[in-house]
Amino acid sequence: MSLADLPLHDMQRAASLDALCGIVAERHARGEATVLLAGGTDWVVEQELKPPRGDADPRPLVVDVSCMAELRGITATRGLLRIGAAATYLEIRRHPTVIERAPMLAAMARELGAIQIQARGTLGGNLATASPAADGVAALAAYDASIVVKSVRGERRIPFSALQTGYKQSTRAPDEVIVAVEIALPPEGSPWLWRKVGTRRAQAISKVALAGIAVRSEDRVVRLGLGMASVAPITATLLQTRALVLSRPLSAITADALDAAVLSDIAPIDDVRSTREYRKHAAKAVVRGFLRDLGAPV
Amino acid sequence: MTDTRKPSELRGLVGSRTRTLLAPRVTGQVRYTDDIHLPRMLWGRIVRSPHPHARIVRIDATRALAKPGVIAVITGKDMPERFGIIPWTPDEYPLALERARFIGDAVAAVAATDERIAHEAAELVDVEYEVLPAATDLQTAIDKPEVGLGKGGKDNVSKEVDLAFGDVDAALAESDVVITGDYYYEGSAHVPIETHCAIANLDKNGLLTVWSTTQVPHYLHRELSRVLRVSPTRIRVIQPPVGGAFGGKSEPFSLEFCAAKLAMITGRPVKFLYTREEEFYAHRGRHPMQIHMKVGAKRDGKLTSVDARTFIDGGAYSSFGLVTTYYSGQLLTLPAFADTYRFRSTRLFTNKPPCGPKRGHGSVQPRFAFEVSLDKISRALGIDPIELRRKNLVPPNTTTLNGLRVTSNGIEQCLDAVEKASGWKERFGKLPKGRGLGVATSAYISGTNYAIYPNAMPQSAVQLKVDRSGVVTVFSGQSEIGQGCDLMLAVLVADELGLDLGSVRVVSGDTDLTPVDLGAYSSRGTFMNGNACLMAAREIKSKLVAAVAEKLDVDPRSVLVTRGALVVVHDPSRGVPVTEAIQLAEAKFGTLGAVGHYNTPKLGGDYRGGTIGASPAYSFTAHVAEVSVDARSGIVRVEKIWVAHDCGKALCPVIVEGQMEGSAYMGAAEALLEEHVIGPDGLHKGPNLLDYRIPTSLDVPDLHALIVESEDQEGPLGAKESGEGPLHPSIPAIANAIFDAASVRIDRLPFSPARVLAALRKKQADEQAAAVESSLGGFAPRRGAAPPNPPAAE
Ligand SMILES: Cc1cc2nc3c(=O)[nH]c(=O)nc-3n(C[C@H](O)[C@H](O)[C@H](O)COP(=O)(O)OP(=O)(O)OC[C@H]3O[C@@H](n4cnc5c(N)ncnc54)[C@H](O)[C@@H]3O)c2cc1C
Repeated sequence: MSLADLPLHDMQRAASLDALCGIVAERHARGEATVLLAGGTDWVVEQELKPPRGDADPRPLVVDVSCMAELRGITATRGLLRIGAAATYLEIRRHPTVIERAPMLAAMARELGAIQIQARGTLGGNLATASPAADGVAALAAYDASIVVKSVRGERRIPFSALQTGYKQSTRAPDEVIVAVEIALPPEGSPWLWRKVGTRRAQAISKVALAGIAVRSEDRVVRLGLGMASVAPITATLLQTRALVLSRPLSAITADALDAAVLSDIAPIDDVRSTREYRKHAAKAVVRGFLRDLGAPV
Repeated sequence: MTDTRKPSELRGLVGSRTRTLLAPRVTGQVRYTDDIHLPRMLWGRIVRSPHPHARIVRIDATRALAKPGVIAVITGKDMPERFGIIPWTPDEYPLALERARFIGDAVAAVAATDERIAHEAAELVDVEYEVLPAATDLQTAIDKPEVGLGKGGKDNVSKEVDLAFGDVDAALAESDVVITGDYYYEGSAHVPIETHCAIANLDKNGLLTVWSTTQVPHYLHRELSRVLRVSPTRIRVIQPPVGGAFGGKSEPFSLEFCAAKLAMITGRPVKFLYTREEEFYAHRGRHPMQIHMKVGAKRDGKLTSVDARTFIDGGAYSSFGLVTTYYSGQLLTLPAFADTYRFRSTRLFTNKPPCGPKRGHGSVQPRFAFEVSLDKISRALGIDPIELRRKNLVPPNTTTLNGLRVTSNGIEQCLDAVEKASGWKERFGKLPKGRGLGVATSAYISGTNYAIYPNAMPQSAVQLKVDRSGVVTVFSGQSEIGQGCDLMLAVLVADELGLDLGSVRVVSGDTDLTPVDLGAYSSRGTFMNGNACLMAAREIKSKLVAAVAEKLDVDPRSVLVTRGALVVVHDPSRGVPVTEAIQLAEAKFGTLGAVGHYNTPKLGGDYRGGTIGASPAYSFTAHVAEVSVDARSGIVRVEKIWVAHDCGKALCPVIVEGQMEGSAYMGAAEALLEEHVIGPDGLHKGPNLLDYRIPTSLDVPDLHALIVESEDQEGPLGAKESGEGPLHPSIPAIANAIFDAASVRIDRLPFSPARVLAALRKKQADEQAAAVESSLGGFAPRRGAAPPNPPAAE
């Protein structure tokens, strides 16, 4: 696309998170849209796909949040990892605590887009766009992360399981700003998997991606998180699959049962990146791969 | 004599290990067309059809013209003149006059004071269409002649070629093995990093200057003159350095005409810059081809016959289609071929972006079908595929079945080189399951003797200007598109005159300053411009030698040009530095300058179309690809490619290697990733770089370029082409390697995970069925017996 296709917008920065919430709320009350611009790697691209607007159409106000202190930074305290909504993938993949304690998230960030996108893109943007192909969201699904949001009404935490309601729909209110995500860190050394099936090794939107994190005790998986991209209208949390694995010893899990559970959890489609059939196959194969690594005979 | 030493061991010419002249490219100092900003310049934007096929009923620009900043709007009626790169098939208007023939076809253009306003104004041009039935794939174009895209409107045929050499039917009947296959080669785009750009300016003296990202300034000059009805004496075309072309810029495009027309109307300079999306509509990419091919052989591996029936998906316009249709058959007869041959190729119009020449024009697709057929024959006969090719090589200094004159030919050395480097003998057929090797070969032209418009004038020409400071400037009409052709001329002149590379300047691609060269296509640059340049340089050299001989009072035959000085052969301590030699010569002969030119000898078979494919020299290539096939995901990875290429003489080994690697990379990309796909509704599936997948640096296989030098008797210092030939074997070598790795044949591009996986599953199911059958003792199941289990459905 040419930047000339991007119509002129009013743009500003907010002095603080509270001020930002104020701006968003006020505009929302007047029926005016506000775009919080973090990396711009989704929003700018989307503008090209929009039908042309006449000169008279109101354009949203763009507020640059990429430098807002309250949305940045990565911290870990007492088993809780908090990642600012505007922290970039590059910051995530290079953060020592993330590398050590949430290696799956670091692996995801390393394979998302390529270095240019990683230097700008954020989890806040990934969550807000809410594409079913979003890699970051799949990883957060596996961690059963909480999404910290804030508005003039105050701050609240949305557990991942209560976030998504439909294709690009969520329980976050339109005037709620994503502040951070919080991950309850699994015990150190817990087995994990990030497996992205793309058409090339970088700059590929996933045909299928699986995020997995497990806590194992002898022949059983006692805690399991799974998130899968590009196989349903929303990020798949593979609840049937999780239930199956948690319900019996690893040695009692059969490939057929596992495949059946995966298929009941997903509803992929044909598109320019892959086919429905291939996605089904790939989804089963990557889940089997993870369970095989955990010791299931599949 | 053929030389297979490593490039680093070759005796390089001056500067052959440097890319000095290319440094500005990698340091961001080159000024491309889009870097040019002229005072008072306007921005243009093309209005494009949203329908694959529609009659233009009415165009109303009122709303656009009312927008502040909009200066002018033009439509087809402003330039009602057809153009086309091939003089026999002009079928495009700069802006469609009556019918739009694909989604993205140009129907109007606006000029405004800035780029943004131009883009917004284009949306305000109201075009009323009457939608017509469309053909968006080959089969529809065949089945529905009434869509009427062909000349005369009665069918969709663009061009048909039907040629036979020898008695094919008899030869096939006498063959011990005949391999029949259906192959589909998917279309692909060039994806240059620099998109098309043009700027036009009409000065106060009435001179129209057009800067363009073209790779054919001379043809553009002619077509601008014809379409705009302006004398060529009033037009100057300048081609600034181009940021990649690959054949996608080898004909005029709407933007050049529109920029010129709008500049003439408004009296202000006008710039057009295509967006990435528009680049996919301008297209002229690789033609999709459906190929039905039979190849016969005797038990000993001697090929008897090739019989091909090909349908070519041309897209909306002719472009180079006439040549493409010939190339789809004519270029197959080297390096290994049969005794008889027949091909019938039909190019059809479809309502899609027009296809054209992409690196390895027209011949990459049949090469895939043929080289895979050879692999199948080698399996059927139990002959090693490299051996099979060796048994059928066309020798040097001969004429092929279809009348192509062959001079130097290093294909045997190419095969030896890849066989050795890949450890073929020890490893082919012996790698662990999921890993495999494949081989393929090819040949390609070093320029064609088919000048696009018939004329007897030189195809390439240069002028040399010699300055008494010791600087020599080469003026050449050639097009520097990143391939390094300017450097090539500098190397030749420096070597001939004993200069260092820094003392040679090259001015190229400017119709006012440089003599005509036909352009950067058909791999003609080094061969033709190189020969023209040598001719001029040798004239200067003889003057330097004469002047030095006079000064030293020796026989001119005993004066030798060395680096930096002209010396006496038997007494090298006696000599004159080159700069001084130049001054002596200027004093003796007056101002120094020379011209040189090149024209091909008369070539080609004595039949209609027999000159198409005829080239003064052919390059030869062999590839071995090593792949891994993951049976669980269907993902194919190309681990390594060994490319051996006979380029005649590597004037600049670094550049030759670069071309070989770039070709193999592009071929591997077409094999595995790229798909220029248009849906049944005529919409491009993803005209952007995220969905149209070229490989990233992480996806590039490990490439090994092995230069082979056969020293062509007619090439400049023995050189032949290296820019396109090395692409051809990539695709079949990978396909053949997949078979070695996983025993499946993928006869359709690209070899995507879904396609490979489906083939693997089918094979598994077939094997199960066969096992069940054999367990039944070869008899059909008896009544009452359970039918064999169907393969597990997904
Ligand atoms: C070439 C390319 C490759 C890509 N590859 C991948 C890939 O491999 N995997 C993948 O998942 N994605 C990929 N993407 C998509 C994109 O990079 C990611 O979704 C990224 O996370 C978006 O973040 P951003 O900060 O750039 O979002 P922006 O574009 O800045 O914002 C996107 C949306 O989120 C909203 N928003 C941003 N921050 C907040 C906030 N704090 N609170 C509320 N709303 C907010 C914005 O208003 C906007 O509507 C790719 C994109 C490109 C262009």
